[in-house]
Amino acid sequence: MLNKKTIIISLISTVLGMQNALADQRITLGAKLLGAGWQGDNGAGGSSFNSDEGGQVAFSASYTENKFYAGISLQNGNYTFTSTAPDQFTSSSRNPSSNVKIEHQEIDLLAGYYFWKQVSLFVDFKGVSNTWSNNNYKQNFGGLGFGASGYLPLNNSWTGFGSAGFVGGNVEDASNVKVGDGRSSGLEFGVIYRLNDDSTINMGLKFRNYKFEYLDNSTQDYSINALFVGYNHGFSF
Amino acid sequence: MKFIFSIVLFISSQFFVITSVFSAAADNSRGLALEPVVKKAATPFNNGTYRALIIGNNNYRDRDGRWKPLKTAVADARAVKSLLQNTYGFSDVDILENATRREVLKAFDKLSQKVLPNDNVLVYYAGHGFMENETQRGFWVPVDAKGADNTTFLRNSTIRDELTTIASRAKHTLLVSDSCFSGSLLRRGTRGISEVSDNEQYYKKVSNKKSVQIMAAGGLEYVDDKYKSSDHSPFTYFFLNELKNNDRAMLTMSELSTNVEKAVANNVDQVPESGVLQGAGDELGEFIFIKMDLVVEGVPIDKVKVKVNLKQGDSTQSEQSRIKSEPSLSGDKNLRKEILPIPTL
Repeated sequence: MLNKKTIIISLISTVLGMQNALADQRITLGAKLLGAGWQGDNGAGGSSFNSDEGGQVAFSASYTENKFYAGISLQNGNYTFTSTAPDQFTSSSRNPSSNVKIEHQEIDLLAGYYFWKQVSLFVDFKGVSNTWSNNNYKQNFGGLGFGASGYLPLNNSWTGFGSAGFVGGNVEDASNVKVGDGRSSGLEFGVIYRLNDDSTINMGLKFRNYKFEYLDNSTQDYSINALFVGYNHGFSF
Repeated sequence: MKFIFSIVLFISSQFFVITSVFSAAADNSRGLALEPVVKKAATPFNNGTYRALIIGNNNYRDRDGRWKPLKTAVADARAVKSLLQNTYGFSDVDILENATRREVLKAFDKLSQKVLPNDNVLVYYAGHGFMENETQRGFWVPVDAKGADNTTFLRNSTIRDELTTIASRAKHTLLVSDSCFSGSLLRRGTRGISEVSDNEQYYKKVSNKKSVQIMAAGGLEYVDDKYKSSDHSPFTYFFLNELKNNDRAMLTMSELSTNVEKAVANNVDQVPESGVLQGAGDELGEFIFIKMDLVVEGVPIDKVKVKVNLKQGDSTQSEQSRIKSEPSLSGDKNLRKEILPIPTL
């Protein structure tokens, strides 16, 4: 897996290196509210689970220069399971959990380029952290992802958009001890409404699927799906 | 989860209801309607945005002393901005005060990236101008111009190129240049002034045709910086005056320029000129100013919008095909305009 510092430095240097006097440059700030559900299966020997309450808020900042963009997105949310919850895995055991609230955090550092008029390819260094409230057990998943995104203007006010991709990486506990391997995939689509030249609101659906294979060969498979609304404001300079 | 899900659903549904109501209202009426909504001009014949780039240069920094500071250019620019926004519904106005060469070029570039196919774009410049006697080439002089070094000026050919880029996307483009020798921008082609008309068919005709027009403060001559006790140059003084005192809902550039030329020529030793930018796709259309300062009892002026709608089917075939083709006009320029949410996995 690539070193985190190398990726961050590469992103920053790429951004700074691409500045030029007459290019279109913009910084976009965004906020998003996701009403979400977390459901899945703890694999053989385990049981299925389904959150009763859940949601996330996300804040993002991105830099766009012509066809290039780079940005960061931070998400935070809580999911409450009144009955069965996702099992907790360590390097040697699996511990069932129930009646628990799990804090879910995500960070995305990404950079992309529009290789076609309305379609871009991007790399996303993603980190996901889940913390169980009952015993502060923490599980981290992170890795490098690849995706494609695109948009389609529908008229002067409305634009359709979507993105899809996957991430592969390690699953670690709070002590950064590897407890397994994981991969995730994401699909998002929706519509954007243009309020004015600098502001848009967006809404749509986001699907994420996570598949983990732990060191004891047990598996865990779950999805976090959401309906979202968001707002973005661009600052051109 | 259910609570947040419900909030998201509620916000989404209310948003769709609100936008649907406004869309329906816009489609079903004909004639002039006044309603308390955010102010933004649109002609009855296209739904483009009115945009302006306004440049005013007073503080020249030339160490050689060739380019003396001006007294009125910044005030001219501010007054034009205010009038266009408050009286003529320009919703996107950028103003550059004491602009360098680079700032002007950047502003042109930014504007050209924003322009959409039905837009009406006005560029106003007040500042020094220059013309080389040997080559008859004209220039705008930015505040960072250095003496006689014309590489630090903005050539007319560069200005024409920038306007041509903008005009390739906009429906109507108008350059108003209040500087010495600004008439040199017109040397490549002029045309007679169109007949003034109150006929709606006339406005519809010229609105549907593309236009790329220029109003210049003078021909190949020096123009005055200050008119009497006003804070404006003679050209901008009468330009503002005509727009302020215009009592018609729609005023074409040709009508405006005719009145401004007469007023300026009658009062100072200076003759403004107007015409088209040759080779930029002008189809004998007209830039139309839509007057917005109409009073609706009980509604603040900044909340009044003039809506003039045609019934469905009244638009011309070319207009319909243009509307249909708009979503597909999504090349690199549109890419830069979109404010997209960041994609995450």
